[in-house]
Amino acid sequence: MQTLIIESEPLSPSVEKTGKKKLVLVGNPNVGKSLFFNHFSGLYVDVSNFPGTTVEITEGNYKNFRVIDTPGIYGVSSFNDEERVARDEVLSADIVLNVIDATNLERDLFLTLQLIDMQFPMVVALNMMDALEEAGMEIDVERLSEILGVPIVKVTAIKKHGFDELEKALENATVGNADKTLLHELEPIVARLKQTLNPIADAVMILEGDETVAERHGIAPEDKREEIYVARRNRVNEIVSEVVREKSAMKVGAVISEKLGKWTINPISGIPILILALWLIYEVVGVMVAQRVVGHTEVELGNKLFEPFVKHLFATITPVEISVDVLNGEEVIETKSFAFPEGTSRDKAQFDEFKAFIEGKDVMQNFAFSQETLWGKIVTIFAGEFGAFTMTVTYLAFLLLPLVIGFYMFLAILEDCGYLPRLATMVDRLFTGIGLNGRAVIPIILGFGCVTMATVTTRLLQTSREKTIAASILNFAIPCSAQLAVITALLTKAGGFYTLVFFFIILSCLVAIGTIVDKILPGKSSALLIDLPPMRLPRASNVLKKTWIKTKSFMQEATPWFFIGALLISVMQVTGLLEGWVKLFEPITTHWLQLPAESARAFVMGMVRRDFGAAGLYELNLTPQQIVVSLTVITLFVPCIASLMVLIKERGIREAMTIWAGSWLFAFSVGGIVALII
Amino acid sequence: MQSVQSNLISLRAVKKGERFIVRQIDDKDMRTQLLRFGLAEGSEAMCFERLPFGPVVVKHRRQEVAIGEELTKKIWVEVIAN
Ligand SMILES: Nc1nc2c(ncn2[C@@H]2O[C@H](COP(=O)(O)OP(=O)(O)OP(=O)(O)O)[C@@H](O)[C@H]2O)c(=O)[nH]1
Ligand SMILES: [Mg+2]
Repeated sequence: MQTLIIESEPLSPSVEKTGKKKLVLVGNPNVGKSLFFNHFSGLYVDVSNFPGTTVEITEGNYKNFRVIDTPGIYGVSSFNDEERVARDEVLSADIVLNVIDATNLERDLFLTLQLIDMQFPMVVALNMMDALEEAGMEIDVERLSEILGVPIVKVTAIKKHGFDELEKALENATVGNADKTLLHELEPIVARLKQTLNPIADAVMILEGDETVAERHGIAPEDKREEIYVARRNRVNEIVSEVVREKSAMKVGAVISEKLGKWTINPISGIPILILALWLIYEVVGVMVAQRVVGHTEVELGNKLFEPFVKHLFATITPVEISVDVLNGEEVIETKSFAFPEGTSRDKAQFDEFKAFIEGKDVMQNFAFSQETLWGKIVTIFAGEFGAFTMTVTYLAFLLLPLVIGFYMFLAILEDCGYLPRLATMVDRLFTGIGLNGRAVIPIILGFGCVTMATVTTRLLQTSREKTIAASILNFAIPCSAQLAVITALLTKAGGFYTLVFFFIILSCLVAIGTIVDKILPGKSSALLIDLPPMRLPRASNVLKKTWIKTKSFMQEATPWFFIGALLISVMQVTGLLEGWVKLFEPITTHWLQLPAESARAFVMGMVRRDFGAAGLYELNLTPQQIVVSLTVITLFVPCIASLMVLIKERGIREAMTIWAGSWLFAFSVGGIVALII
Repeated sequence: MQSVQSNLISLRAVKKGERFIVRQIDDKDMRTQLLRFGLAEGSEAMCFERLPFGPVVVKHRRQEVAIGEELTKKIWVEVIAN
């Protein structure tokens, strides 16, 4: 067997490679590890109030340490992906910083004792001291430290209390008081190990029956897990009854938080709360931002100010005809054309007349660059109707940016207040109908922010089967924030009734996809088991920081794609390909979907990014029925290129391409049926 | 299916507000997972909330845990007086 081992054991101590010690943050889910990581590294990784926020390893630097943030785990083992990811980091640690939730010692100490049994040099950070106070409880920290044999530091991470002491304590990290009988049993295993960084830790894993670690050392795993766990659990219970004391009743804050939590779970109060939350999001993002703010930025700043500015630059030396619409509110009251056969700079008199004409008026200028020369074509590519400089900037900065900020802010609030795991509980029953459990509501809600990111978050689901179902739903039917932004803006044009119709269509599709994939895949999905963290008031600093970071990364990621998309479609326009494409699609667009032929352009754009495609629809003049049909198609359309990449990485090329190709078929079939019915 | 003592009922059948002691968990993987959570055989908890067709929310010390319907059928408890 020994020759078959491909995975190399994590031997050479990391210190040798970099001269830096590897400090690994380990703890149960949702105890504040990422907040600690951010403090030490100066970076920002997501901090949210639900278990399973962190699903990947992040590395940063702090003094002479490499700091590692890991996914939350209830023990070092290999039950699921998160545990496997965390396990390898823990096993190769030089120092472990074990973060525990002071209000949940009975749960958290189990992992702590395991880490102590593994003989890591470690420090325990007793976090959430503020919540402990609120709960009216007290912990005898000195006694606890004595029993465990490791330094313990009291911390309130959100207030940055205790970090200084913690930094000092890290220099005194010690190996704690392990279970004596266990140590004894480990000896024969340790003797058989290959060279490794933490032999005792590996031996504990093998004794607890971990197959992967056993295989690395070429020996068979033992089957002592349950026995060891029971003993460990009993020790935890003893310790807890010795050091935890109920001092007083729960404070008002904790009582309110508990009550509120209860209301959100019970459907009788929970459904109205959900509807209220959705309505609030619709009012603020859909009505206020989409109509007022975007109406202003897109038209006034984008179409009337920024685009003409750029176009005039090109117009100085390019043959162009500028037609001016004089507006009174929405209405065009006068139209006049000015031709500049050699560019605006060569025809002073005409240009002066033009300037005098628009002076002091509310105007929309339409530029038609002559396409007889190559130069004219190039100008059209960069500053024409779909110009890479003009359209990209208007869409991104003036149409999407305000909406995306709005959505991310609401998502950050939802993530921070502890509502998501409770929503997961309330909808669990519905989700079991489509082969998922309630936990899947978390990646799906995050999908409304960014489908690409949410596809990564599907890792918090237990089985590969559930991950496939959730990834399919995300990539088929969930519009991301930018897309949703345009959708909301268009739907407010279509009116309340059609908004509901659209909602209903997408919801049915979501259920249909879930059901189909559930039927096709063999096996069974796992049942819900989720910790419900206390409801907390969202922290403004975290919400703002997260909104800012997410918005920034959206802009960074979307800009090049929008630019490429605009180039693609402009090139197609000047070469006549676009017209061909529109013709080619005519049977589908005008007959099957009953849309204007130009909507085929939006589908070209949608292949690059769905939100880009949606933005393309925004420019067309559509009836409410057409809005519903076109939005249905663009929502169900192929995932954007970035999502496709992540999908390939997470779920494999076959699954990814099936989803991609399936989207074409699905989007146009459903779209056509909707067009027939409404 | 393992045999179950007659004084035990499944977690599914516990009423809201009742306290109970976990006595038997039928699934080995689940047993180990719940051991880590602190909801091992022998631990005391309370039914905090239960949904008509869905999960049971159990409160154990200060911790609330939502347990899906499928799973609640495998957990056998003894209800105790308040
Ligand atoms: N009241 C209080 N809340 C805290 C404290 N530290 C962290 N939190 C909150 O606890 C939640 C979880 O914090 P994270 O840093 O995301 O926890 P994590 O351990 O990285 O979680 P996972 O990545 O899911 O394992 C957030 O809502 C924090 O605001 C604290 O000292 N007091
Ligand atoms: Mg985290």
